[in-house]
Amino acid sequence: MKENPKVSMLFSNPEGTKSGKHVILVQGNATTEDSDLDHGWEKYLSYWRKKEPYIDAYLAEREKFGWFWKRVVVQVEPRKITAWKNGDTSQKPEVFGA
Amino acid sequence: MPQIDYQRLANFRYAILTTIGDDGYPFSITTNYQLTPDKKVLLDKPKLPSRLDGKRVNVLFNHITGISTGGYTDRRYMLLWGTTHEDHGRLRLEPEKLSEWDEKILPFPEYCAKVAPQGAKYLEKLQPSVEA
Repeated sequence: MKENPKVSMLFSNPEGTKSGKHVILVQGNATTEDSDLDHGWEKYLSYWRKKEPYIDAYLAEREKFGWFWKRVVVQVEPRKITAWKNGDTSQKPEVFGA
Repeated sequence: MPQIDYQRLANFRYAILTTIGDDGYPFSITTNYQLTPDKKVLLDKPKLPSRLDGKRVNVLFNHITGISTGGYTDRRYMLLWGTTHEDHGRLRLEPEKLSEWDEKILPFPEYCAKVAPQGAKYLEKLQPSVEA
C-alpha cells in the first residue's frame, strides 16, 4: 500500500459487516501507520469495541496473543462509493464521489 | 493450474470478482457462480463499464458465521487468481493461482503460525524505518 495506495473495500456479507442486504464498494487512497505495531492502534479501540464488544476478553489476555495484537493501522480516504441496493448487482448502482 | 478442491468450492453462497479498473483502483463486485461437471468455474457477468474478456482478476469465495454471544465461526475462503473469458453469455474463470483457508481444516492459531514467516519478513523490512 505504501507503493500503491489505491485500494478498495467491499462490504457484501451481512454476517461480517452489518451492511444488511446492501452491497457497498468504497474506493480510496490508503495511508498506513506502522511505526508502533504494539500500541499505534490503541487509539481506535473504542471503534473496535463498538463493533465487537467481546474484544475486551482477548485484550485481558493480551500477553498470550502477542501476534494478534501487532497491528498496522490502515486509513482509507474514500474517493468513490458505489452502492447496490439490496445487493442486486445486476442493476445499475448508485455512485457517490469521483 | 492450481489444485482446487471443487467439492469445497461448491459450498459458498456467491463469489466476489475483483479487477483493476481503468482508473487504477481495485473494483470488486459480488456475483453468482456455477461449477460445471467438467470443472469449469462460470460466473454471472456483472454489469460493469469495462469488458472482462481476457482480464486478469481474482475471485474470492468466502464464508463466515456470526456467533450470537460474540465472535465468528466457520470461517473459510478460497481465492482464485486468473483470467476471465466470455463463454456463452457468462464468464469462465481460467484459474492460475489459489490461496485458501478453512478453520475446520486448519484452526486459527495454527493458521497464524503457518503464515507467521510472511509477517516476520514484513517486520524485518519494517525494522530499519522504526529504528531511524
